[in-house]
Amino acid sequence: MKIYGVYVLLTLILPIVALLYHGLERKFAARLQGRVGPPITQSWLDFIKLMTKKVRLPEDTNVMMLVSGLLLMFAGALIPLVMVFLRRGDLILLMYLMVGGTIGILLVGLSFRSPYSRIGVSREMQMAFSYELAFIFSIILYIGITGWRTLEDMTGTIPPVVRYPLLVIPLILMLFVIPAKVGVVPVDIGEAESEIAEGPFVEIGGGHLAVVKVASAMKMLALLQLVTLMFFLPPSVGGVWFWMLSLVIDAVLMFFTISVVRNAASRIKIDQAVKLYASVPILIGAFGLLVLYLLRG
Amino acid sequence: MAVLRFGDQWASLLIAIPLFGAFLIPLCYAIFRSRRIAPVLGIITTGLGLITALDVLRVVLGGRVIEVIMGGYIPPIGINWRIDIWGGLLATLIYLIGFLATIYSVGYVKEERWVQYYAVMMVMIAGAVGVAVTGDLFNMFVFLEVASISAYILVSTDPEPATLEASFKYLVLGSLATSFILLGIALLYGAYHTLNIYDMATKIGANPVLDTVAIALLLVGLGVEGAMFPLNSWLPDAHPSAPSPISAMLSGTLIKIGLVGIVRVMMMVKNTPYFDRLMLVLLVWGILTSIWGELSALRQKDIKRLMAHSSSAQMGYIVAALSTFTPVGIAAAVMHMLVHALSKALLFMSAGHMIHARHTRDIEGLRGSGRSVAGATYVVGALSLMGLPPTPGFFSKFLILVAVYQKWGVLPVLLIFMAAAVEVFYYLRLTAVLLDAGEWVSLSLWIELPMAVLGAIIVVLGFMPSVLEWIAAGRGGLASAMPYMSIVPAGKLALPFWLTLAAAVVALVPALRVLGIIAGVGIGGYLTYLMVLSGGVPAVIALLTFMAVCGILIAHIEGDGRVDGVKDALLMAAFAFLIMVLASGNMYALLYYWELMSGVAFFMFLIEPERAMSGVIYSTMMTVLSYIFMLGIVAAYAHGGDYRLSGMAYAFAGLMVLVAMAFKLGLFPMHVWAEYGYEGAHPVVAGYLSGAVSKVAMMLAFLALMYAAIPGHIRGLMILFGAITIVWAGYRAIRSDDLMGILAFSSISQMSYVLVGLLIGGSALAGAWLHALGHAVFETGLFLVAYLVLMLYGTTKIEDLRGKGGVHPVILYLAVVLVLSLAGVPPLVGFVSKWLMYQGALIAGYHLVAVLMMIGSAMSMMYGLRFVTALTGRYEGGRGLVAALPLAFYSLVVFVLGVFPWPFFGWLGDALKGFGVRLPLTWKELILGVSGGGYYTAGLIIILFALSFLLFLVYYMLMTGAELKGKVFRGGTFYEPTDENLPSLADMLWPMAHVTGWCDLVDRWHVLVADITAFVADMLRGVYTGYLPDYALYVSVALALIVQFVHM
Repeated sequence: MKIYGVYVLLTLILPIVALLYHGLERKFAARLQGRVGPPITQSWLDFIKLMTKKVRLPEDTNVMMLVSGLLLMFAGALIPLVMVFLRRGDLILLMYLMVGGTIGILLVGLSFRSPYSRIGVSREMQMAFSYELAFIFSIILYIGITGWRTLEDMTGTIPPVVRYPLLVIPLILMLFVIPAKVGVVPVDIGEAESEIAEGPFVEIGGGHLAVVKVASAMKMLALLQLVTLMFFLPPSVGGVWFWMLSLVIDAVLMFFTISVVRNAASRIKIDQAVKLYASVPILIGAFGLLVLYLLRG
Repeated sequence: MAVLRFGDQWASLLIAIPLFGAFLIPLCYAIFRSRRIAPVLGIITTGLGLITALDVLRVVLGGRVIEVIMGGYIPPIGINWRIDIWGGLLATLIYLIGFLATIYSVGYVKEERWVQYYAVMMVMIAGAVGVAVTGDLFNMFVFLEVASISAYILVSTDPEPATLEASFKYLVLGSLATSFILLGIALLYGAYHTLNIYDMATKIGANPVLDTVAIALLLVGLGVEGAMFPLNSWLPDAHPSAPSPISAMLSGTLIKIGLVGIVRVMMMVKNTPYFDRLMLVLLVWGILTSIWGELSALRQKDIKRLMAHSSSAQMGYIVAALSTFTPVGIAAAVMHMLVHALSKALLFMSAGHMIHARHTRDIEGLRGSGRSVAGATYVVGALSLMGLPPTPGFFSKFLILVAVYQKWGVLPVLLIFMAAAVEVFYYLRLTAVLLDAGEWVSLSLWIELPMAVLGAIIVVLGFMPSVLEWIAAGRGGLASAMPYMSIVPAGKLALPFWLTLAAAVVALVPALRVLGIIAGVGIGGYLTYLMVLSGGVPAVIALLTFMAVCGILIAHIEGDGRVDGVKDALLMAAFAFLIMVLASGNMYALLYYWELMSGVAFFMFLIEPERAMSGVIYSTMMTVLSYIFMLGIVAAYAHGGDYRLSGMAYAFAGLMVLVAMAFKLGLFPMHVWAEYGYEGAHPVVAGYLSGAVSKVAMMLAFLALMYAAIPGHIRGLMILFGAITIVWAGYRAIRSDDLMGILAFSSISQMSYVLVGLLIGGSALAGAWLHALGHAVFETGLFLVAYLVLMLYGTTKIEDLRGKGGVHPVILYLAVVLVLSLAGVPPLVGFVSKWLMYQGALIAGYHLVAVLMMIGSAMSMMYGLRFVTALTGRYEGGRGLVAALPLAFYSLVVFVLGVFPWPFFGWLGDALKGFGVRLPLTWKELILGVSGGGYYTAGLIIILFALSFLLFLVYYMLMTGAELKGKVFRGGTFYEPTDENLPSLADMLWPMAHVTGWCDLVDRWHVLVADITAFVADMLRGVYTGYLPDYALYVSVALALIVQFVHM
């Protein structure tokens, strides 16, 4: 029964932690811009406020699809989040679980008959495909190099990327993936506020928006934690140290891959993004596979 | 030499009767001054002749050779007839077709020509029968002249410039041929002082140079008569110009006398040292003739010309079979002679019917003219010539291939297949044109009755292969080697099989359609139940296919009209055949039912004229596939001598079966048929093809892999190509502008996963089977959704669906579930199966393959959502809810199997036990993750999913109720989003199109192949210049070549 208790506990706590990280990221970004920024608890406050707002939807909304989209977004972020903090799960499985969240976004967008959301869905879909390429290469290369197919398989007392220097290649690919998957400038093309007014979420408000916010915060944290586990955290670390170390590494990773990136660049166009993600990661990935085959003989 | 018997003199009636008839017809006309007496006498004459011939055949089939001695002079001095199986059968055929043609001519030929026409026809019959039965070389020449000269006259029955020209050409070439024959005979007589064929056989060989020249002269002369390439240049003019009953006689029987002449020559020289080289000449000659004939027919616009060229090609097949001179080869040649005579006569008669009604021979001008008795008989004849069951052509063609393979190996067989594939294409295309929409045409009974009789004979022979075999090889001849009888359903399955077909017939009646469907589903379910009870791999496949077919039939209930009933009926029949494929214990029966199953699919396309051409292309491709399959079976038989499924253990046979099935599953670059087969089909048909037929292909691929030791590099190559197919088909699906296109390529992509999984083995094998199950369910379900869209909006083109295309919200919801499974979202079945395959690939070290498979999966997410996007339009109208029933069932299956796959694996593990395969997947291994292949941890996911659902519910409850009010946000622009100007779904992926547009070029290679084929066909057809000196040159060249080669 104890293990199930842990599941419930993590399910309840991790969304809150994820929102806190979201707040932390806003703080980082503000500091980079020379602002004081909101308190890191701001995302909690936003969430609570949004929950109290009345939801209003256009009259021809496909509610069934909207609700299933929201649920899928939520579950597609929460399940992998819990699993990476439990350090249980198959890498490919985790990847697919995260895809579920993306499909949720698309379903949400499709439930409105709005040009903005349609364009948003279109862009989101293409972005998803493009960065999934990099993600796929990264995971397969990782498995090929280390032979670990699951989080439980990982062993060793030093960070994996130190133990297997070749892991640099999947790591580079993963660094490509993070900003796109989290959806920040320069590749937040699906939800570009100033252009298409949040794309799929253009009509979302109130409690629905709260769900969207918490889901994207959880998605971000899950992804960061996955990268931390895969590359940086020594697999032998356990207990309290596991939590402390991984949360710190997550924060550092977040600072460099999200805050810095989104403050240092401006949004690129969708065709540029597609070209970028369809060329560079494939080349790196193909190179990685080649190296892998050469080394394995 | 057999003991002489004078008791067989009655057989000389074979000649006496028609000659007497020919004499009586003008006489009676002179006396009674009535032309009507001519057909009466003609029919009586041929009727009596037919009775005599049948009696002769009876004796001959009893194993006795009939000897008729002329004028009391003892052979070899005197002239004798020696009626063996060739002579007896050909005489019977001549009389049978002659009898029917005389009846047919009553309605066809103008009355003022009757006297001349019938009299000359009787002479022609006498001459032709004479050639067939005689045992004397000079006698043969005389009869040949008699037959030919009467044929020249008959060709120009309607004296018009074109027919006169044709007749003249025929005359010049025919005379040249007979002169050659005479010269050959003279040379032989000069050397060996005998004219008796059987006497000659004992003497010939003393003078090889002279023999060679003489034999070459004979062969060339007989080759002209037998329409062998390139001596057949008279044929494309003469056969079409003649009245259709005469065309039937000429193509059906008269060219066979050339063939029998060749047989006689071969009997004569079979003990000589150059016999083997002659056989080789015949093989090359036969194959060249068939390729040339088929390619010439390919681009014909004249229906009778097309059939004439086809005759030439068929002669090529027969000669190729003959060139083996083995018992099987001779049986095959005899059988095919019979089949071709009947079928081609029927085809010409059917064509005559249509020409008579439309007054044109142009194929386009005949569009839709097949809505008559002639259409049905045409289909029977064409199927028989193409060698498709349930017609006798299937058996004869198969036998030809076995014979040729046994004697000459694989290359000639491949060439024959190439030629036959061309034939299938043009006959199917002609079928599609003729059976296009049109008024029902009815002509006089004189014309329609003989056609119906001939059609019935062919159909009956198709169901009684033992009779065919008896005719071809005598009692007990090949019975031990050729298990023909096993094609008939037997045992417990027989009754439900026939009942399913009966239900199909019931569904044809519009008023009883629903009853028929319910009965069909019920009986089909019982068939499936019986299959499941019998266990093994077929049990699993039977269940999968039944789930697909049953859902399609139920969802289709809402369709209306006569058309849908026909489709349902065909679907049920196809399912019955499919089950018989699964139940087949031997490869021969398997091929038989496989072809039946595929053949039915062609007619499903024909129901809608606008899809007919897709059906033609699809079915041609499928025939090519079944030829590869057949090659495997033939090889297995030729190698091991048995047809059991385990014959695939012969590596070449197994490989061929595997390649054929990979073709069926659309392995790159053999996937081009998908555009026509899936995309061009009605969604219901495509659903059946994708959901059911591809599973049978999968099973056969699996069996081939299990039985045969496929070499590692071929396996690796196929895995790689499979992985490429996954991505390629995914790309095509994304780019498709049609819902059907999306599903078509999706189906190819998903089935490639299955193929790759089977090839990799290990846990990927388990994944492949589960994926097949999942695919049978979610892909069929999506095809049903496409069907609903088609039913509601009349189109599946995404651009045309803009602003509409909505389906009932429940259906939409279920479609999303199926799409999620397609995209492989956990915990649905699509994920588990793909995940197992990734694990298998990674364990086996196929990292690149794993990457490609995952990319394919990401693609499936894109095209799946694109599919769903098209369904989000406004939904109006109450129809389209019955499909919710199967869709809900399918959604349940994808969910339940995604969470609890192990019962399936348990069952599958039992089924695969015979192959020594162990699936390492108990529930403990899967749920708790104790297998070596990673963790699925379904249990964890379910718990977490339930928790997130609860949490989400709490959030949702806390929210105040949503208010649906107002329009969507427009951002203060003037742009008012309406249904029509919402961003187009077709260009949703334009940046990707921008990046990947060049890929489309790669997929157009089949257009190039088609262009090259057409070019070559036109070039070859250019040989028929219409200029007589050219033709004479061909004859001389052929002569020189034969002499040179044999004497080399």
